Amino acid sequence: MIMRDLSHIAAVYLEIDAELERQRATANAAGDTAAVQRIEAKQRINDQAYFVLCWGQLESEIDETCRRAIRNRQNSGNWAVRRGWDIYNPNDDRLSGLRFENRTALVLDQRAGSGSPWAKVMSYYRLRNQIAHGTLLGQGIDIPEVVQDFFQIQGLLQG
Amino acid sequence: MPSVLEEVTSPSLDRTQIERRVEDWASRIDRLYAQLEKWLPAGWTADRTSTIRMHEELMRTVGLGPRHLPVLRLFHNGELAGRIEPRGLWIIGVNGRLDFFRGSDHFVILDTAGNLEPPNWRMAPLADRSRMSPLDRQTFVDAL
Repeated sequence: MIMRDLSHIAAVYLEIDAELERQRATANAAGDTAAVQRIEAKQRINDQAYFVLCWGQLESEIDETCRRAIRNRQNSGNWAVRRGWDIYNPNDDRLSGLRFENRTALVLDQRAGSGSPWAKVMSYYRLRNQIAHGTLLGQGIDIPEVVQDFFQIQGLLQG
Repeated sequence: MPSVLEEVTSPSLDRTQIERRVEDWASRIDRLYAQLEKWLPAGWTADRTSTIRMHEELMRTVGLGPRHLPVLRLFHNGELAGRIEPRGLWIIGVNGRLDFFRGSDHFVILDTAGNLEPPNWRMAPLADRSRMSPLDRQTFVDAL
């Protein structure tokens, strides 16, 4: 159960976002447009901080499922099954240098097309990279919906 | 058609598509309000005389000007008792959000359909998203 902290992270997010929403409603009721914009900017930063936390949970799950897939195939008595997998070390922290895209392609079908779980993971990965490498978004993120999406993706990973 | 996630992470932005998305958002809001007005119980009325300014980052990026979207004000026995206002179109994870304020209660109304698809409106209290349910006459009247 790798994503065990995801629900907890989402619950903490909701608590903080509800307080920011309360502040925004107060500023809005007072007609203070500048304060509303400041609070919305805080919410966008908070969204992105929590998105990166949530992403870490999904990435760990993908890594762990990938390790399981490698171990399962390596345990095959059939060399035809085993030979493509023997080159990876599932105990290595970096999974023998496998890039994240390739780790994901071992547990989701990368040819499934637009809108597929693989395509979604890649879009979320680009978003994660953009935020983590210093370019903040001008858009909000609906963290509860993204968390639901992450749980759905988790259910589709094939070890 | 890409989702909001794909639009936001796309390296290329198309002004025509952004314009089309804004038009679609305004149209979905218009149809949603029309439906909600039909669902109002006796003693309730609504108007759309108030507006809110929409000028999201993707619109600014492609040089599109602001757009004013209507707020649905809800009156009970002639007294202002609530309002529904558009919050944002490009919110990752959904295809647009409106906020519904009724007294001290705050609900979110989300379209969870894909871009340019028929809307799938859902509603939940802001602080308890586990109570998310389809937005139908009953959930709306219960919130009132």
